[in-house]
Amino acid sequence: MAISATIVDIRGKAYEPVITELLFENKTVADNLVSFEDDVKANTIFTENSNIVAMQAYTSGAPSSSGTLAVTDTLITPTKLMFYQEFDPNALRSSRFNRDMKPGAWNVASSEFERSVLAAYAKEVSYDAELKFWSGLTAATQTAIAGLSPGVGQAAVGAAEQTWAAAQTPALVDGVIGRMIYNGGALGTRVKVAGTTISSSTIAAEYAKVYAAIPAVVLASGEQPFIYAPHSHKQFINIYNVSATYRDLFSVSGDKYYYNGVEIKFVPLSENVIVAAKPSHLVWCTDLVSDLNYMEINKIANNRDDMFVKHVFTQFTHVVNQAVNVLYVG
Amino acid sequence: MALKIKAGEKIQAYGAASKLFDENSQLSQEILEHLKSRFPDQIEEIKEQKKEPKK
Repeated sequence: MAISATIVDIRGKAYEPVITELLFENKTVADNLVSFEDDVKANTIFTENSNIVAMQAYTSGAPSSSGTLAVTDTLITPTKLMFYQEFDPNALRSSRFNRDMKPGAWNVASSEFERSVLAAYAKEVSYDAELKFWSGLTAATQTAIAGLSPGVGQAAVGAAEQTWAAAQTPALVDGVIGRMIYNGGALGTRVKVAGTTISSSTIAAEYAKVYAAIPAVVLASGEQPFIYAPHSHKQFINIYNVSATYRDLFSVSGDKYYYNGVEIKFVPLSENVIVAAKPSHLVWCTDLVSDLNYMEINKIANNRDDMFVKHVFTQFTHVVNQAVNVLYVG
Repeated sequence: MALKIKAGEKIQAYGAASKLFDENSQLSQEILEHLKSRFPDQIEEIKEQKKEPKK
């Protein structure tokens, strides 16, 4: 689309900053909140290994094999995605942006426009990619989840999980939530927690459900898990803490939030959804992470003066060790 | 008992980015039961119409 501009011809002064919409930054990428796998061009194999050992009584005769050496391959080809928009810088000729246009009728490029408007656009592109990494759901996966038989136990899709899927507008890629519910053509083996509406008054009880569901081995071994929660939970926790007698349940240190010692990371998950997992279990597969930060701005054609801005990148959400990752859906 | 979203009610269960459910949304009874647990005032049971006695 062209520039959608409500322009006042500049005569006097312009307030210096261009006021842009407030956006969450893509902290998943900036702060490495999950595992990033670069150089995943196409048909890349991710292998998971899980073994079962079985102790048996010694025999001096012929032993019988017992246990399992299991290897599961997943072939991953990230989805190639694009953001593309055209604009005509000539439309800005009478605006505030003319102040840094070079003299001469040929020159309508404004570095202020690029620095403020296009930079904000790029930030929005990056945030949208992050949003889809967490909460994206393709139409095919949405249909597949709707087709599962709901039930209470771990081996059935939860009614809440189906409700979440039904409430999503289909996207081009599946995100973490979708992959945890439906993975590899079948119900995901996530640790399912049935939730409810989360508010400042219910947040402690609901986080207790998530914490209790984290397999002990996940907390006891090496890399510590994170609780991934929607941005709104930061406010709920702060409100909850105001009236809490002791603030050791949700502890806050600077900008870091913890529940019972497990750090909470605020990401664009859907409301009423929480994930608890080791960061290495959630994998952002792409060709090059910095593709997200690269945008091409150029003339549409050599004989034209209108321009385009374009981002191209690949993305795929892969969840490994599914059986020890907690998915709470309210 | 069959459930439905009350006429005129809109439910947005998973934040601003999620779809609005209303009385015309095609939802399974399991989903409606779940929504009833979270939004009890916006879900109602479908009342069976009384049959008129034959004259």
